[in-house]
Amino acid sequence: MTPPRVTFNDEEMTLTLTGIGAGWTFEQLGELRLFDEAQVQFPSNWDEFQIGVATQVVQSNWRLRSTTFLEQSLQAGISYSLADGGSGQMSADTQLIEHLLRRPLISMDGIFTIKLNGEASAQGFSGDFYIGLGIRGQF
Amino acid sequence: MEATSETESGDDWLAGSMIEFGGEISERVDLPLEGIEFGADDVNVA
Repeated sequence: MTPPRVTFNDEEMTLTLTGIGAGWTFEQLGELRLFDEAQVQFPSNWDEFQIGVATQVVQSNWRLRSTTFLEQSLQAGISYSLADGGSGQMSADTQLIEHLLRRPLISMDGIFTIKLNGEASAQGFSGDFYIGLGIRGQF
Repeated sequence: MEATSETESGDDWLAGSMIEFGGEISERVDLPLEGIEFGADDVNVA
């Protein structure tokens, strides 16, 4: 018997993306099937049902909100390493953020830390969704 | 550094460059769940 509801209490899952292929853009990452492409570390105390519920919550919210997550992270600041060897940190205006989101990449790596705090039932999941993003892209 | 997609000379400074960024976001969500049966008898799948 599956439970009538599942509670999440900020348990942490980690998704590691490595070497997403050439030609992808950051903007297209919302189309990525995260749990097929990433190496996933679920909390050790979760059963298969909890994993199934969490997977759907995360994938659904990622599809809806990934561009916003990426925009907000880019607005917070960017570290860069130029082809000529220069490096540093910069802030990006709206135009550059839009350009970065749409420019094809040579490769992309990322680590996402995700926590859910709330309850899932037949009515859906209701609660807090936390995501910590660390992304590196090569143009 | 406040950058744009191209330098004033028109050079594409992003070609061959790498960027890193990150952040933390927390938000309230209400999401429907499809294909998950809560409170259902276990089903054996062949």
